[in-house]
Amino acid sequence: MKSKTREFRRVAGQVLSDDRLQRAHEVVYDGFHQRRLAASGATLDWEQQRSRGKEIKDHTIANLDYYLGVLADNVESHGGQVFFAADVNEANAYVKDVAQRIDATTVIKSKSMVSEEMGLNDELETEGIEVVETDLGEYIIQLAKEAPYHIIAPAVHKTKNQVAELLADDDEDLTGEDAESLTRRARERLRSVFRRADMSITGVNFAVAESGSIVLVTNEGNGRMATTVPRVHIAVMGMEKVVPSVADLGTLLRILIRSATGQRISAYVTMVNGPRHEEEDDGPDEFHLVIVNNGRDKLLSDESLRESLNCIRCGACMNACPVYRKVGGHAYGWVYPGPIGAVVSPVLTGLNDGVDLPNASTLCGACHEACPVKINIPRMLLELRAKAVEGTDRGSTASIKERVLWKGWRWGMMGRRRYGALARIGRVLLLPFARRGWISSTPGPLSGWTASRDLPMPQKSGLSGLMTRMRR
Amino acid sequence: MERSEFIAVVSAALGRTSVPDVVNFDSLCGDSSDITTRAESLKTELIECSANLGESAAAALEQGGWKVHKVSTLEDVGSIVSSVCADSSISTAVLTDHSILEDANLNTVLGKDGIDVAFSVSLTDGNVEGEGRSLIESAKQRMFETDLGITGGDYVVAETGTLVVHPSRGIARLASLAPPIHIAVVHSNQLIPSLDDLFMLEQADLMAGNRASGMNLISGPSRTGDIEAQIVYGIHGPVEAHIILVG
Repeated sequence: MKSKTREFRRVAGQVLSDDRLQRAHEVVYDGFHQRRLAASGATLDWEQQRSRGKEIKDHTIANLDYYLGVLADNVESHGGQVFFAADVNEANAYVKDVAQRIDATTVIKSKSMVSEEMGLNDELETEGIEVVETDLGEYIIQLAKEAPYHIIAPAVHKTKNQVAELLADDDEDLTGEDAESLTRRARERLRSVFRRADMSITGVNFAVAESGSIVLVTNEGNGRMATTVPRVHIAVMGMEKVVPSVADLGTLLRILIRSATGQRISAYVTMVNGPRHEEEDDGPDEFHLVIVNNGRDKLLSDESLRESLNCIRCGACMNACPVYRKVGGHAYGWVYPGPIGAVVSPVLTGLNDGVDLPNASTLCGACHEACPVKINIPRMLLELRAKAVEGTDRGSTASIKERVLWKGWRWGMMGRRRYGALARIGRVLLLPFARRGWISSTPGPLSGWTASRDLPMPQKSGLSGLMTRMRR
Repeated sequence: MERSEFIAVVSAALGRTSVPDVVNFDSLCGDSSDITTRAESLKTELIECSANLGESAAAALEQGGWKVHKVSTLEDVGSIVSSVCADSSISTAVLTDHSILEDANLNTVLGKDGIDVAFSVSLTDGNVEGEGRSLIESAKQRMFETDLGITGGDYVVAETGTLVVHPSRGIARLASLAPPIHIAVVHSNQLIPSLDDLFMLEQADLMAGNRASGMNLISGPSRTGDIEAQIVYGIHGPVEAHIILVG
């Protein structure tokens, strides 16, 4: 997927002035947020579960090389095939090879964020293969030719009537149909796709090293369909998705699902241990696991950002974030939106283009508090802000003017006399704009600051003057 | 990319030159060497405690959208199934090979109601090796045209209201997925308290080489909230899910 992180301000501005979207955001994000609070509150040992989740992820990421080897061994020894992809090109090439070898004409997909990174749908379509998203939300945005808006609810920004228009056949009008009848319509359409699909591509919620299994979490049952009906199943995972042991899945599923939708468990959790056993009545003949790096080693090698690989993609940080709740998912410009996206997307796609993302945060800490594996997102946002100014291989994101200004500021702050003198000069410069002790409009570069706030006029004698007089 | 190169990149990012031979991690089950013995003793404990789980399990099952039917003996299962069939004008049903279905005599009950019954194993002639794919394909189409799927299960998790089914010969995955109505029949001694118990037992099975091709956790009917965040049952899987707890 092409990164549009540069366009954050423009898209955010559009969304902020769209009243309908703003109302939808409030209902949906707050709904998720409240359900998460209720579900975690009802889990008696929630804090222990979170700590355990963090422990599991910290340990696995710190030994990622080891666990990836164990995972690959165990998948292969049970009849699965493993492919390691350094980047999206290698991953796409492998999937296309498999599709061509088996003469696939219809490929069904069950939600996978990595396949969005890969731009896999377009890649397969240019080969003349029909690709159909089967998660209803993903299907709707595929019909609308858009990117997912939210990782749990990809089509939350669409109204019923917009969905009706997308689902209608030619010359048909479904306007006014309710959610239930539109869902039935989608069911019928997608069932005919399931019946003819010859290959499936799914994501992976957890890959268990010790047993060589993958685990999929869905509510709709599309994950089950995708791992049952076609001849060939390809699961695609970011390399950080591995966990050590089957025994820990209880904890991981609890914290993921309760943080994502507030359910105790999703309608379906599907564990795949490999291809169909020969004597079984159904299931795929081939199982492939594609493990993708695509820049994740940059997050891994930087100890200040490594923690971001603990993310289990529940979306809780997004629903909790006051900025995300206003600007929505598309503004972030790449696969992963919201607070965690503001850490991951700039690193994976280039910090110089994506510097607005870590800046678009009030650092209020709501994401850190919501995260089921306790990722300290605000700390990493600050790290990235510093890195952007210190400069990457494409230079610093701060302008020369800005750097000179801050250097001057630092110089001014370092000496007591200097500071006092500069404060007095500043006060004199501000005097012409003061009205009854307040400054509410300023010219030039300061006007942006005073457009939405008032500044009290600095007192004649500041704190240091006051202290000096008191000491006398 | 070659596996070794890929993993070398990961090791380098972790600041080391080689992969450690062994990494110790205490999973929730602790040391895995004696897990089989511990799983056996857990099973004995579970059978004792399953009697007390009925109420909490029923509440969790209902919360997840299951229609829960409690009966005291296997003889009572048939009438529940008959009434579900009558309510939804069922004309075709598919049954898995779970022995509880045979014990409840469901084949005869459904036959009397004039319902066309197939066993998932008979759809593929019970022989899918070699020429299997075409048999599987035709069985699949039949499954999508069937009104009702009836299955047993391996466990029911009380914490989450979850039916656990391992696919195998005679236990088609589609039986609990493709038909618009699913009825599960389980004995109350199959109740286990929590997800942690389930995954401990599963791990013990996997370590013992007792490995199914997968495991399905089913917690009510299929659902979506993707149109204006309104929950609708029955998008890809069953619209309606019943569970009959026996004993």
